[in-house]
Amino acid sequence: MRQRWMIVFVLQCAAGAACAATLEGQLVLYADGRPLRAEEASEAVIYFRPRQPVALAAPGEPALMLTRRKQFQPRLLPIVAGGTVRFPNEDPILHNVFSTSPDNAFDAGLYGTGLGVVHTFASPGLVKVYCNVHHSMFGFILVLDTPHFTRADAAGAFRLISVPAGEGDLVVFHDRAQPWRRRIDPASSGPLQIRVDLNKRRVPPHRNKFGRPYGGTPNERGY
Amino acid sequence: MNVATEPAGGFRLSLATSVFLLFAILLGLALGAAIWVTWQRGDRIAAQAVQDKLDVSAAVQAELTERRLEEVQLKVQLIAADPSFVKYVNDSLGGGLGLGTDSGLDIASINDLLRERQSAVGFDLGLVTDAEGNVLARTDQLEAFDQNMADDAFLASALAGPSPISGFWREGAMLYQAAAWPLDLDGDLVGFMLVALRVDDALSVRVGKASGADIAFLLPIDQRIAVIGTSLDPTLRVALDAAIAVDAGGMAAAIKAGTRSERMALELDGQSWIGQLAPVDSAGGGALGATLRLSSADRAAAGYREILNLLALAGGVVLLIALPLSFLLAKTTLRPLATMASAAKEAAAGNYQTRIGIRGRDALAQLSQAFDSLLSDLREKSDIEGYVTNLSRFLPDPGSEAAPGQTFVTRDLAERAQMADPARQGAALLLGLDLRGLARAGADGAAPAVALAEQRVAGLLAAATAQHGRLVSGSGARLVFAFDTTDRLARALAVAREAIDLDHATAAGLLEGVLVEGAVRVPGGSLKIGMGTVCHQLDRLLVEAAAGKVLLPKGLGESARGLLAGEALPVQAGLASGKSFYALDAQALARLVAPLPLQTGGGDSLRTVEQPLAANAPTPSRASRQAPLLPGMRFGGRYDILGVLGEGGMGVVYKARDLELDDVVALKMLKPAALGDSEHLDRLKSEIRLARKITHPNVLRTFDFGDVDGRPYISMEYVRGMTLRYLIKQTGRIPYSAALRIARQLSAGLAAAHQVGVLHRDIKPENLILESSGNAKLMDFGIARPLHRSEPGHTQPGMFVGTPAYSSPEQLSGGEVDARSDVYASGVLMCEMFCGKVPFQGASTMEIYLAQMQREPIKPSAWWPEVPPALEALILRCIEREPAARIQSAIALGAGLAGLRA
Repeated sequence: MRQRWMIVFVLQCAAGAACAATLEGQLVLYADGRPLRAEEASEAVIYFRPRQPVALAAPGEPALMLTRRKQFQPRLLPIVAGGTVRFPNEDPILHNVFSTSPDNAFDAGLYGTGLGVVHTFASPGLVKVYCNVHHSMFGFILVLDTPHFTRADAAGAFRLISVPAGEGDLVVFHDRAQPWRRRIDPASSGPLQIRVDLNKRRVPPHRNKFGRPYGGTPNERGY
Repeated sequence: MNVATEPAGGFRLSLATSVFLLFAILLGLALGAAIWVTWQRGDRIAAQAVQDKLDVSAAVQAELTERRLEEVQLKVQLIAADPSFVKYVNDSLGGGLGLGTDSGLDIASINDLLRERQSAVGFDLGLVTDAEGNVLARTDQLEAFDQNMADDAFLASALAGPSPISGFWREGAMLYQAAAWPLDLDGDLVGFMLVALRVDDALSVRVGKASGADIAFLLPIDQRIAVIGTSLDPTLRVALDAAIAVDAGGMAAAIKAGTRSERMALELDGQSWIGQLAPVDSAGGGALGATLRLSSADRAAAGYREILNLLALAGGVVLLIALPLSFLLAKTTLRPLATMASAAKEAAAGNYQTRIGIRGRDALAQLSQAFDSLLSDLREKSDIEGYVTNLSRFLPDPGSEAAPGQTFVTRDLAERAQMADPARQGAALLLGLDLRGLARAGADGAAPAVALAEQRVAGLLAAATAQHGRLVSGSGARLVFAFDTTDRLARALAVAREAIDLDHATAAGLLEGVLVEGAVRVPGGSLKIGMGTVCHQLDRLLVEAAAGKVLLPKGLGESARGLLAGEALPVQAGLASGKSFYALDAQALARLVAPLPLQTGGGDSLRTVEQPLAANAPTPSRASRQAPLLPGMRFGGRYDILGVLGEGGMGVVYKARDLELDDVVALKMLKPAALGDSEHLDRLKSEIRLARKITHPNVLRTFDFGDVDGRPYISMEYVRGMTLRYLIKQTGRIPYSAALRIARQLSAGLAAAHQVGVLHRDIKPENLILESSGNAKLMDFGIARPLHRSEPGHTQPGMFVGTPAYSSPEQLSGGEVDARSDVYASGVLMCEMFCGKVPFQGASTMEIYLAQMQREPIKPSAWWPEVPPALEALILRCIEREPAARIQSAIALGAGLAGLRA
């Protein structure tokens, strides 16, 4: 039975490989109704999820999310489920890396300059990464379950090659926007013009009726 | 007498009723004013209290509302600021990435968590929305309805922030106090949490209790206003619903407009309430509804109403008690006035018999006492008028002006003489009087002559009767009297003396013998005759007598010597025969020391002794007697003699017309001897001078003194009336009220005389004359002497001047005489007037004096048992033996009499 499935799989891959398409388009980010500069578009991650699940090849090298100048770089890191990420610390100070996202919680502990730890992210989803010491540090790891993902270039253009034909979801993710999704068939769609509004609602630090902050330090990042 | 006219028609109230009505009206006004003022003030104060209550309650209600809102805010914070809650909600929502475990919306979990939180924290409604306002879960719904609240005004403002918001929130037909909080995950808006507490009766009751005023929350629903919560009782709630329904339009408009209304009057269940309308949320406008604060005006005014009711009740009770009482008081107090009014009416109609007799000292009592005395005055006046009028029927006609006293005496004597003995025989002493003075009487005419003769005869008769003699026979020339008492000689001599004094031409003779007396009937009457040898002898004796002499035979002469103080009798030869007779002339007769006999019921005691009986009495130098004045004669060229009024002690009194003044006066002729003695004349003039000074209605006025042809006279007021003596003789005693009036007038006149300085000295009933009007006049101050003698020595001590029966002890003993002697005499007079008899009885001066000194006076009550004790006491005080013990003056006597009222 297993051989039969292998055959089907290969056949499908072949078919798929045979029905490969290319998704390309232009991504423009808008904020407050006005377009941002073109190079800002490279902040977003664009990925396509076909209807049929696609086999994922384990990447070899772990991706890197550095801590540099009290910031995670890159701030948004797309990987494939099952991939690994290393968190080197390039700052002279001690840092901590952790996340409490479901299924992908980890804690790298405190460490100074160095290579840091490597963590495998098995479940797809958005993993928010923080530093326990520095509350303003945050990063996103987007654990995808499709290999077809890219970032826009400095001009805002993007291209997804060898996308299997057939319907699927095209998602544009930006941490400051709601996920942009569209069901398309790469084979039949031409170049896309995607506009994403960075309109994810933020709650301003609200104050009590006396105009003072509520008791305790304003905890923007709770966990 | 005027007939009092009744007021024409109209409504006449008695004085008591008027006073009572006035009092009632005043009381009613006072009570009414008190009640009205209390009512008004009470209403105003109550309204003010309600207003204050409402204003105060407004503040309290605002505070309570604020507190509850804070409560809701805290609760929503408690839930929404909890990060695990937010994470849970966020995870339930899913990321939308479509990656892996992204399973999509998990409403059930949110719902479950929400309910858990509700039971932990406690709120009426909670709901969770996503960032766009889509409702994810509600505690009041199990199913997840598709509902977006982005257009809800409340949440819209939260969404806009996104920021927390709290306040009143209306959803449909419900009103809440709600708070919404943004669910915030790392600064990202996940959604909103809303927690709400309902506004309902429970809240209203709490608010009402705390604030002191009732509250109702009103919500405009469709076309009507619904009461969603109130602290009122169910019955009142229903009434409120009804009241609002009635005024739905206006109130709805007010609520929708969101205006405040400071004061609304509502009628709930028959009570009066005051309300204040205010929108629930001034920011949200009227759409959210309104609060109606209510306070019962009736309850506030209840206290004052109670006071008012009590006041009215007390007032009613007071009125009920006071009105009848005041009516009674008015009647009782004013009854005397009514009595007096009716008495006055009676008096005006002529009936004086009422007596009011109120004791006391207030004005009313004084008025009634004055009234009483007025009435008694009137009674006395009417009594005495009646009495006097009654008696005046006996007065002689104005034609013949003889004094009634004299006439009476004459008539009586004559009748008595006639009736005494038709025929008798016995021994007697005869006195014959030869009236030679009448011989020439006819010179002026017949009528005057006869009048003169009558007068002369009357005088002689009186004298004889006084000496117990009786007329035997009489003619124009001769009168014969018989005396048969034990002391007949002395008496006869007294008569003779009198006769000679009257007319010096008279001759008299005395003889003793047996006599037969009788009266023969002749046509026209009867004729007195005497028969016997002695009569003839008497005639012959009279022939022998010279004028002015009394002839006595030897035997009688010897007897007479004893009477004449033992001196030798003069002897004279008879005119006719030349025989010797004892002849007494006036001078000799004057030496007669016979005591004046005093008898009861008339007699000498009533005759005034005006001359002292001492030997050195001046004898008249002139022997001749003046011719009497006759009516029709002109006297002194000024007076026309109209008639004879009487014979007084000092001389004849005529009635005359004063031609100068054309007035009728009385002329009192004095004895010519008065002129001869200059001392006597001066005395007389001084006494007249004093008497003239007395001008008093109760004293007979003396006008003038003069003398014509050697005849002195006094002119006096002419009064037509009766003497008190006459009245007493007629009726025995004078009726009480009349006598009281006379006594008062006597004391008044006497007081006037004393004030001038004159004593009367001879007060007796004969000297008190009563006019027909009942006015009494004191007269005949004939022997009056001045109180203070300017010329000492005129009245010699030891001499007695006065009338014995009425004289005081000091007067009888010849001592000092003053006003109190007059008071004494007045007392005796009053006793006789009131009771009929004098208090000291006696036949002679000596007897009376002894009675005064040794015995107590006979009490007036012995003569008249009904004498008032006060009067008796007064009389007795007047006749006290000691002058110091008596009433001291005529004025005091008058005061004492004023106290006695008829």
